Amino acid sequence: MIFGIENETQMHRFLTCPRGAVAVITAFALPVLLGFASLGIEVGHWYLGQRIMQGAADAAAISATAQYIADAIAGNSSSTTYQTVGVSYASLNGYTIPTSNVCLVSSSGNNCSSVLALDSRAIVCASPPCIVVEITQNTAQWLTTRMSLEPSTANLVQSIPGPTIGARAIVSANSQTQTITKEGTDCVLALANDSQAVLVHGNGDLQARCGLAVDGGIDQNVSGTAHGGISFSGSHAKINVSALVVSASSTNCPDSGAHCQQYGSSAALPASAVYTSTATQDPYASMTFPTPPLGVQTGGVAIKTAGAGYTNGTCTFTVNGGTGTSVKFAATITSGKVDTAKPVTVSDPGAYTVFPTNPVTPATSTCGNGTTAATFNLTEGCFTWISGVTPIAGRKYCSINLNGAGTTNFPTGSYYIAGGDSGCQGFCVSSANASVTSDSAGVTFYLTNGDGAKSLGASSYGTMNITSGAISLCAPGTNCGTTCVSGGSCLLFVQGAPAAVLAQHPVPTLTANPNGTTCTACNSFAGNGSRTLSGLIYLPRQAFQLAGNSSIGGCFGVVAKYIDDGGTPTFSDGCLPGNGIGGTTTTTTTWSAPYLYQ
Amino acid sequence: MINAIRRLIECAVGSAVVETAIFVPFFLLFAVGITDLGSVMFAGMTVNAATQAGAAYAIVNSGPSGTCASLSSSCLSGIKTAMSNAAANSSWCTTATCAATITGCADGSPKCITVSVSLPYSPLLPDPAYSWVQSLTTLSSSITVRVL
Repeated sequence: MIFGIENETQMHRFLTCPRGAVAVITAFALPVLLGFASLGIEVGHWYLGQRIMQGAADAAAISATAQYIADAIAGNSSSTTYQTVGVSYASLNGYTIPTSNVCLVSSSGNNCSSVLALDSRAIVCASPPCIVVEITQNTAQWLTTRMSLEPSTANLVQSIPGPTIGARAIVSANSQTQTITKEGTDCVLALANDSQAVLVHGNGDLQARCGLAVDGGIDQNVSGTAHGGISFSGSHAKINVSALVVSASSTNCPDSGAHCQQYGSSAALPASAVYTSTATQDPYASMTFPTPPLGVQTGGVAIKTAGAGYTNGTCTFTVNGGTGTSVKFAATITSGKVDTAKPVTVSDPGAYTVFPTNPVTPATSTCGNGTTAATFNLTEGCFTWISGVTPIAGRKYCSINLNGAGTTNFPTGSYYIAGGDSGCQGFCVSSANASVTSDSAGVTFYLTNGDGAKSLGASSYGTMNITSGAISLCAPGTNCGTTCVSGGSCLLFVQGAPAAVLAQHPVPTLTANPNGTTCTACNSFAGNGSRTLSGLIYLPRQAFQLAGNSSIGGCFGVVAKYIDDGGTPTFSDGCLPGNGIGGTTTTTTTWSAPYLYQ
Repeated sequence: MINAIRRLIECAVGSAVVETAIFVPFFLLFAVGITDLGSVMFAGMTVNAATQAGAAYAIVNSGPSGTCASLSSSCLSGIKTAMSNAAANSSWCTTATCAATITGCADGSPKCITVSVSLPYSPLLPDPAYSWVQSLTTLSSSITVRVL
């Protein structure tokens, strides 16, 4: 019996009675209506929650990236502290996540397996490294979801599983590696580990619109005590430079201005322009000295038979025989014959690996073949270039001795000077009327061992000594200007490593003879004359001695073991590589601001 | 008298009016409540979007030469502009309280940006109707990000 219904008639009436139907319908419909309303509100809440979660993920990822960048800058890019920081900032913004939810995508791989297991969306990281933070939460734990799922506790309605909402943030930490080259400011560098590496004496005044540097480490004493410094002898000795860098503690500079002055001024060089205990690397320490041309030259030519039938005038002969570049020489033809009374001038000494057998006959001449060929005897030997003879690049000479009047222009290329001869030990300009120039594409003079007959012998080493004349030379890369373009060697004179090493300053007894000391194994500028030198003199084993008072134009620089100054030369600002000696190249890695991808 | 009461109870005339009168308050309560929840969620989303936009502005401009290298007035006004743009209301930060701090972080790192927004909200029903779960009179959001 239900609701007092005892038979079929009563049941029929109950079922067909319309009274109270609305209440019944409402009773059935209301839970459904409320359920849908609840679901609508709940879904709205999920979206709100997802937005808040995304904000927290973004904040955590950016914070973790800040830590990653800080670690990378500290050189600890394998640190996993970024994970702790990501977790910490997710927590600070309202969400608790496990450490594995913060992961790193680098160019070599990632540790994001946990993140991908939670959220199968591909991780987009266009430019690694990227930090990924994943926040997920099961909405079933939320109050409203729990309430909406409440019927499930009574098993009246099958519970709908609450979806898991998630937020992922990917932040890129881009780094850029930059190489910054700091240009050097020096144009004079002494390499000796000696307190007299730079010595100024007498009335010497070394003036340089650039820095003067002394490196105490070049002569294999890098692990010992650096002594490199500058010394003054005499109350008038001084320098006028823009800066001074010494490898030891500098005892003589700065001072009250008696010896150390600013360039172009008599004011004392300020302490801020003096760098002590600072080594300056030899910018050419790793340079490879080129191999001088092999073979021997023709030291002289003698006429053996005069021949006949040549055109009168000055005739240039090239001879048969031998292996290598043939000798060329000029002779005077008189009455169809080679004039034995006139000198024969060698214009190209050639370079023979097998010297021709004397007597030689001309292969070609500029005055016909003659009816009877002249013959010559060649002397194997060392050739001296003198004023008025056009130099040929790529050849080796005993010396270049420009001791006469006239212009000598050096065509572009390299010139090798082997040891010198009795007239000149290497490269000499000693005539006031000599004019020496070079092509603007530049020349380099390599000072090497002596060899062959007539030279000073194998132990002799070429030096350069300029005492007068008008000189305008340019090194490759300078274009005779005031800068050293990238890729140019900018070397004008280079002395090879086998050169005799000076063990001490070439002027050791200063008190005895402070001014007039003859310097052996010295390269020097002395006397007066017009000097424009665009390029560097590199004498890593010997001394460079400055006397006279000529200013040096161009962008001249000197790297020498010792520098001795008794004159008043003026250096312009150097056009050396990196605009000077003492430049540094540093590689720095800079990080971009964290960039939010997703 | 008893008969009169009995007739009144049994009389079906006007019963719909009575039922409606009983049902309407509940229905209105329900409808207004749903409206309230919807609009509070919209307001909450706006508050959250504004906070995130403000934080994004501060992070992007937190470089050494950026306006938010430290908390300058131009930084704060930029943050507020970003917030107002996100809320699509140029005077949004006059209704809401928009605030930011740039200080050292709690974990010792040098620079943290905290951006927070607080918006007063008046629900259609009195707050006690909701406050048994969560008070709706103030909607707030805050984000803390470490940038160094």
